[in-house]
Amino acid sequence: MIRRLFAFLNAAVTRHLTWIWRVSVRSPRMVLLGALFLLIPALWGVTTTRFEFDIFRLFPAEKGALRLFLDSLEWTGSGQEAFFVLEGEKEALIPAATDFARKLTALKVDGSPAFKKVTWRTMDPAEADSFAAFVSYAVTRPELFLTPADLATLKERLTPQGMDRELRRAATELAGQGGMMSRELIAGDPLGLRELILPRLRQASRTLDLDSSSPYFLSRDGRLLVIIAEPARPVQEMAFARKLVTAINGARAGATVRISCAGAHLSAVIDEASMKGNIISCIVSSLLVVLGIFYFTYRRLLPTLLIPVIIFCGAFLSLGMAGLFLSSIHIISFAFTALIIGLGTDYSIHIYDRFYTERAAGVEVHEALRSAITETGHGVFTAAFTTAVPFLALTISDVRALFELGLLVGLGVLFSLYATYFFLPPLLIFTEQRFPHAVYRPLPFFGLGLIWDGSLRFRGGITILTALLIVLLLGAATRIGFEGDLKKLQPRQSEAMLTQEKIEQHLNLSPKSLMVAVEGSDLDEVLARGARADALAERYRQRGELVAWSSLGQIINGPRRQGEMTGLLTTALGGSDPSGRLRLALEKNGFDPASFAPALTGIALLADSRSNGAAVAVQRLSASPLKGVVERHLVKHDGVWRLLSHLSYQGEEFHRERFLKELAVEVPGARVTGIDLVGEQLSSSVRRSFGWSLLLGSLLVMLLLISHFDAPAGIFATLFPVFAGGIAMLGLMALTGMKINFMNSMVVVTILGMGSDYGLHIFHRAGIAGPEQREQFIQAGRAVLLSALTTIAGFGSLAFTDYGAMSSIGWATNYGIIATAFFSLVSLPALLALRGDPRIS
Amino acid sequence: MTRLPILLLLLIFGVATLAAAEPLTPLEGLELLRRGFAGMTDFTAEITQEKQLSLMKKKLTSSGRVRFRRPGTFFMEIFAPYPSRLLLENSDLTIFYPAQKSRQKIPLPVGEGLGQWFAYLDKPITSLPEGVRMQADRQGENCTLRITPQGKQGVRELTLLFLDDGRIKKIVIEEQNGDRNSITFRNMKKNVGLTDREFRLE
Repeated sequence: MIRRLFAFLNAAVTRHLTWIWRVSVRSPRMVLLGALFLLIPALWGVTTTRFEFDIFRLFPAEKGALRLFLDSLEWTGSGQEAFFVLEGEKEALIPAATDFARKLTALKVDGSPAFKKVTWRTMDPAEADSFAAFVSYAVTRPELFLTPADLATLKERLTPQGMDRELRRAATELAGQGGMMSRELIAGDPLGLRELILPRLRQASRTLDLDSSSPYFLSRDGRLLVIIAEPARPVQEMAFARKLVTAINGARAGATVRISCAGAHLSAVIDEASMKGNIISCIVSSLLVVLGIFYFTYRRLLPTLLIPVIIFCGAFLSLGMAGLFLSSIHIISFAFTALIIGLGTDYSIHIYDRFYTERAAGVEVHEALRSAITETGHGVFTAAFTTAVPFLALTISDVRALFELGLLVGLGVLFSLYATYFFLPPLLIFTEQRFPHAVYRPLPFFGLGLIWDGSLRFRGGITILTALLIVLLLGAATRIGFEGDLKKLQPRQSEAMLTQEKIEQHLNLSPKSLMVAVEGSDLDEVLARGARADALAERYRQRGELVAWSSLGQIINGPRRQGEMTGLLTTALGGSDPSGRLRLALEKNGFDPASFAPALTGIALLADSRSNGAAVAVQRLSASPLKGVVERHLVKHDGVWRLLSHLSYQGEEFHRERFLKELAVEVPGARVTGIDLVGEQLSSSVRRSFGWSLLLGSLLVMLLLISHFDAPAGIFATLFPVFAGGIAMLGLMALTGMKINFMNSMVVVTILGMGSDYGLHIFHRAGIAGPEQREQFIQAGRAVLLSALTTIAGFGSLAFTDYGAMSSIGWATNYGIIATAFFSLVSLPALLALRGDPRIS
Repeated sequence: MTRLPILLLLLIFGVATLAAAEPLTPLEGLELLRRGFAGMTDFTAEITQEKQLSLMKKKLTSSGRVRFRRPGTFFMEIFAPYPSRLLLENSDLTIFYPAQKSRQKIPLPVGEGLGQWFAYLDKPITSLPEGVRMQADRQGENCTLRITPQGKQGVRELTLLFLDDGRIKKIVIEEQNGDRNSITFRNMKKNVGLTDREFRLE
């Protein structure tokens, strides 16, 4: 029954190909009209498609670490900031930073300020008054801002001696020239209680490892200074981002120190230019190489010129059709359409090679075309579907990268195949009519005759060598690692990337970090749960597993600590009158108590418990120059409070899994993210999707092969080079220090799809015993060799791009294709001969 | 925050200027100060400061010294009972309190370090600076230059008192909030070859 079904399918394919041959030969105008009919909607699809550049959009981000990571970028706005790194001698850095900050502040895009805010000093003198206002509030709320350890100092400062001492110090400050700046601080905090609070504020606002003695964002070695700016519009507005980058380049022109930039805007613009440049240069150069190879082999101009038309149809129709269903396509997925250059050429090579060979043997034009389309074309048909099907199977994936590339390449392969079927025959007939006396000289053998002879003569040795090679490379392949770091997939020479690396190298507190998010609608409840997460983090810090952690809890006490502090303050102050004492001390030291009315009132209420304390504290902190600390640690979004704690660690010494388990127990519902966690989530997601897609694709390919071949030898001949080639690819990657990553793992599908063609064509053509078998191997082998070369030229050339993701794809393709071609052309004939296949003699 | 660099600038002018007596307009007064400063590489002087602050009932009276060296290093020390030292280098201001052994670093606002002012004063002054009103008068050998910033905050008026031979006697700064600071100079010495040692905070 199954055999009959497959026979029916084979017959249907033959009838289909015969129809194509007939239509393309007899009605070329209809072919042209049909092509136009398809190209018009495709044009609409292409023009309405938007390209994406953000690498995170390639992966599912509905939940898990990636969701929290992306959300936190949006909540805190840190994903939108631009970072400027100034490098040079310390003496030159500060004047240059002053000048550059002034230029950035004055920078305009479309007549409006380019930046909402430019921060280049740890404290802006213009914010002194609002800072003083916060301090005068905070020092009268010890239950919110102090710890029990601070109580002794507080109590001492409230004694008459302590007050006198602090007021003498205040008078000294006022007498000096700095007194003008500290007048408001002293009015709000005459007893210098800010000394108890400022270290906590400093600790929580410490996001970078800076020279603490400098008022600038200066590295400890004094050679690097950072300026942070918040662009006026979001990064998604690419037109604004491009103008902003142009304006920034103008502002830094002529600077006395080196200024480089990082951040979403710059990265988006530079990455866009870098990726487009890479892809375009890769496509153009590989197209030229492919055409060169084709022309060098066949010495025919018109068929050579048809190849770009076929490739264009394949790529344009696939992009256009995909564009009808998708609003945007990621640039990395689009880069995979470069595969069509190689694949689209393959079908032309196989069919044209057969046509050429028939014509060289004296066969009449139409008959030669019929053989090429319906006989070799049948093998090409199966080969194209075994290529397209694994790619199309990727569309079941929920990973956007896999879905898009599968759709684009799968459709592109099929459109290229049909473009070849329909366009090649009319063009060849036209060529024959235009050049009726053209001579079909024998085609170059490329040493394939020697390979055939050698493979049969040394079949035993070649088989052993092949087995040894596979075992050796399999051993190497088992040691291949997985690269989960997305940064390694970005452009290697991108200014944004290099600048980011400099910041990490010189200014990061530690190489790795985690973010814990505690969420809820009630701020006090969120702070209480956050305090438990903080306590856990502190235990890990004390054990040396964490380098540091920061949280809003370091500044504002949670409800439990507030209650504890209120109790302790009541006991410590014990009905005394610190406000009255302060009034006397002020008068004694020559101050005017009337100017200290808010401070006197605040001191009188020190031990009182006040409701809504934390909410008011957050409000006051947000209105101060320290609002950045709040923005980094607390967000209210859609009515939900999100308390974010940041944990810094070095690496292995931090037992992350144990921490996550303990956190889940102590703070149920807390979410965690970090670059490592995101990497793990992505790799797990890709692995799962990829596994299912590969399984489905393999099953469908198997069905196609079973329906195509009537003997297991054909299936073996098709699959052996693929599996051996896949092992060799992984082994060579491991031996050359490469790792599997999110991108190059997709090359496995490419190898499965394309590599199976090689064995299939060899077996399909040279699997028939007879006196012409050697010549048939040479003809099929030549087509396979040329296909491999054009694939390497078309896709493997990505190896030389600057974009890490594409480069790794290019190298993996080169290894896989070279190995698969080798096993198809050298090992396969020897293996088939060795096992005594009656059809290999 | 603009008042601090302006005050420091006036302190430098106050002790550095020497000029011939002549009828005085605001522009001439400024040019007089500029020319007096032009040939100077450094100076040192003793000061007496009186501060009347809104926070205090009593006047804060202190003595001390000032030092300056081109291109833009300024040092000021106030002696006990209110000991403090101030050092301005480029746009960085550091204040040291010896009694507490504590330091305070303060960056000046963009474009308001002393360097900006000296660049302005490198050329002859042909017009009055924007954003201020100026008034000059003369009584016998005593000249007065009053500078009134137009802003509503910070300094209300700066008064420079000098002799018609160009010798500065006093600077008075009055602020919008009523605070008043008066600094009197004596024993000024110019071009004495000050070294880094004289500008140490500790």
